[in-house]
Amino acid sequence: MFTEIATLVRMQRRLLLTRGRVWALAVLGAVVVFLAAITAGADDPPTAAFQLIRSVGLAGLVPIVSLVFGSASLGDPNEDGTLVHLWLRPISRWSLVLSSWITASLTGLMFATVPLIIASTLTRVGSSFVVGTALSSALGVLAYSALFVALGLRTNRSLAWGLGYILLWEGSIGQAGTGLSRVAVRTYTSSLLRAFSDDADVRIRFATSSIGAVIGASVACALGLALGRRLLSRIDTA
Amino acid sequence: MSGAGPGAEDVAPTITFDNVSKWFGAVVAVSDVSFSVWPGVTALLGPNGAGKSTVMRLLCGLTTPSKGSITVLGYPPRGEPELYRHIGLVPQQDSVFEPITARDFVRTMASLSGLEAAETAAAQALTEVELDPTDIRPLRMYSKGMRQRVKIAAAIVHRPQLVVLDEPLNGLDPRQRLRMISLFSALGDQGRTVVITSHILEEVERFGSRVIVIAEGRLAAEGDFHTIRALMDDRPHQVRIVATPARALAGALLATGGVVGARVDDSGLVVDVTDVAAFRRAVLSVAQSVNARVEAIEPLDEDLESVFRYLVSRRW
Repeated sequence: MFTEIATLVRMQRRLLLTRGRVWALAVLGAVVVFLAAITAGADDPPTAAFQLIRSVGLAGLVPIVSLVFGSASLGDPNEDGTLVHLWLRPISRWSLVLSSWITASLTGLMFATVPLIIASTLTRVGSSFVVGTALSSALGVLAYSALFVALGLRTNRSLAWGLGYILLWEGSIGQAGTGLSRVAVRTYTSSLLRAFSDDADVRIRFATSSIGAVIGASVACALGLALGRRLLSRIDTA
Repeated sequence: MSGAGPGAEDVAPTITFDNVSKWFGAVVAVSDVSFSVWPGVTALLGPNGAGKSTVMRLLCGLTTPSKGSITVLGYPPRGEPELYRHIGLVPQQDSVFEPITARDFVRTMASLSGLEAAETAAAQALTEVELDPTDIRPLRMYSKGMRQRVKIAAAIVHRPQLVVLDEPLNGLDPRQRLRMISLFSALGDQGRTVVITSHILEEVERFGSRVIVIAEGRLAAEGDFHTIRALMDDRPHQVRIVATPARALAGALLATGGVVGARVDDSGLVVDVTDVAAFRRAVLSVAQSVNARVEAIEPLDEDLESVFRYLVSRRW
């Protein structure tokens, strides 16, 4: 199973990294880095840095990058008919879903977590904040990628649905009440970042503990992968 | 169930369709189809939109039948990834993984099929389809015919027991067509089961294969090529003759026995004949015998669609 996943990841990585995606997402990452450089001169750098990484990085860059790569990893082959070449090989459906998630996550880490690490370093808040940024964004990439891999198999308009999910659920409904906030990935990433931002003068309304954040994101991840596996088994391949 | 192969009593069929139907919403793509396929080359012949590709997808497990059952190598093809070790498919659609090279593509497919010497197998398969394994161009730069051959290489790289090819000669030049036909025949001779779809009768003739005719989602006929050809030639053909006087010629032609029906309309004389070749040989002398002047003779239903329609109407 590991050999076939490694083989699939090698190929899927090349399929995902199209020139258009690389440029668009690199520019997005560069914008966050640029904003971080400006934030370094703010009156209260720890608070400003936390707000930047939380609202632009964890709420924007991380889910968008994960959406682009996650939904395309199996969604594109399904749409253009190339999925049949992979589907009709003696490999478990789990291998296909896991390899897609791993590929989307690796590229997501490259285009979301790396710029955020650079950005948090530029804010000069401290190494603990940089570690918090790295861990929280990585957690977000892993969870979102799993959800969006499944979304890519579910609909041909995954980008539109994914953006709707990010804006409406993660951004509004998921932040509107205690109960709903527990099923928003953004709550977990923000909570984890908060745990590493002692100097920031902010309070998150629906925070959870670091362990709770990791468990919550892991559950989202597992649900996304299980749904992806189920959809892949039931899909009518072209 | 009826057989399309030799020695049904000796060898188990590779593929069995048993009263299989497949519908998409209100559209019936395949209707109550039953047939078996044995090792060797079998052609699935039918006009565009007849349901051939749906049959191919069903037998590869890419979609589930709405009714009936399918077995491939003794197993239902859906949800059996281990079975795919023994199946190679050339899908009809042109799409391939564009950013990678032919060798990377075929090697990856070999590796995913469990081959340890994937690199060697990929090079060999590409050579078999007359492509250069050392070509470093990505597949997006390949022509339609080259892509088609890459897909064929990927389908045979793991030496599957069942090779399924959906319109595999599309986009190939005449020389490549001959080469691929010979490759498919060789696979059949090796004891593999090769199923090829086509909508071109002459193409199927070259495979020298057993034929299953699908039309309007139904099994229209099956047997060896010569049986199918004879069935097609047996049907009444319509021929239009522009001649004067048309009525006198119609009477004379009906009297010969080779013409089973005739009518005169604004466009001329339309006759139903059973043997077109014999009719063509006789028509001018019959016209001469009644002093009729023939200006034109043209067949009205020589296209393949009408042949398939005839076969369906004959069976149902």
